[in-house]
Amino acid sequence: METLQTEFAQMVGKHKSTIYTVCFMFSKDSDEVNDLFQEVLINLWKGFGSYQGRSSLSTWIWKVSFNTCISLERKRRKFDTVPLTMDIDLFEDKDEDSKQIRRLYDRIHRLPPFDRAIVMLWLENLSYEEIGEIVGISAKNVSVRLFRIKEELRKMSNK
Amino acid sequence: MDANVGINELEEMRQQVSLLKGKLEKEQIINEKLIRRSMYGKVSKVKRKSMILCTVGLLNIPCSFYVFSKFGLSFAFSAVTALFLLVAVIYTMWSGNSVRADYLLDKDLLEQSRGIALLKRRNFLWLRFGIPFICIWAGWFATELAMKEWNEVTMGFVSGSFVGLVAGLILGIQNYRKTQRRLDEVLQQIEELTR
Repeated sequence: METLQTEFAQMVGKHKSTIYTVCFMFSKDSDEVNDLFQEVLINLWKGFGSYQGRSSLSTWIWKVSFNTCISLERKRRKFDTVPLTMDIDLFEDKDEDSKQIRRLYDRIHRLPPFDRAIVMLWLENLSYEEIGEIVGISAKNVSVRLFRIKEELRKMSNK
Repeated sequence: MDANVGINELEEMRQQVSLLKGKLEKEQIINEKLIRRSMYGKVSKVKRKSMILCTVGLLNIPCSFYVFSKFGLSFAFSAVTALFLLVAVIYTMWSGNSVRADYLLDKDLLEQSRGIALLKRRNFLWLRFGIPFICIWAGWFATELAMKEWNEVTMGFVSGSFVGLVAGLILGIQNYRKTQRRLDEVLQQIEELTR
């Protein structure tokens, strides 16, 4: 059990930025990011013991993160207030990097949740097959959706 | 591939992703909720085990009465055994009252840590009473048996009881150590969170 906890802590430490990025893109404010982050960690922990390595670890983490964020977005669940998960507030920080990040957020967050997941994976340079495996659709479907998403992003840039 | 979104734009978005990840990599995770859930799991396990032991102890009262009377052991011996089991069950339930697993999820942790420390102390006190009592009980048991006529059935009963006693002692001590270790871990986690 202790070994499992250590392995889990190491895994979270290694992939925390991926998890947090997903949560950030699916949230409206910093409280919601923290709540989502915790929910994702809890779901990862629940599945960690039975994770058999059927897919790569990063694929599994993306999957759990997106599933948690998308399902909570659908439910529009009301969260209790909980402590910070990371000592960072990407919604409030005013430095130049944060402004750039906000620009990215503004673009991605305007997309529907499922498209948000696809575009984030696309920005990670993942292949259509890998994206399809994570979001649970075919590579062909990914390419069709991405075509529409890119069109959408283009319209946003032109506005 | 990126015909609809300009190359520069795509590059810009990727750079923004790298910026975001770079910023996050420097951060440490402070996850109180997860730690609280882990503590909840540990204490729930301790409480569940206690409930199982209480059930086994209660079921053993009529069983021991039946078996001891069948082998002609004195009523006093059976009564003391039953009383010991009853006291053990009541003590286990009472000592467990100092901690509530669900309180670890959202209540004051310092108060919970006091309860856990009390439970640890009570477990230790029970061990200090239980082991000498079991030794005396085993001696009494042996004396009772020595006064009986020995046949094959008595021999079987004696060897069965001996194996049961030794196994029970080993399992009991193992369970005690595991429980105390789990409670120590929870205390440590509370200390880390409240530091």
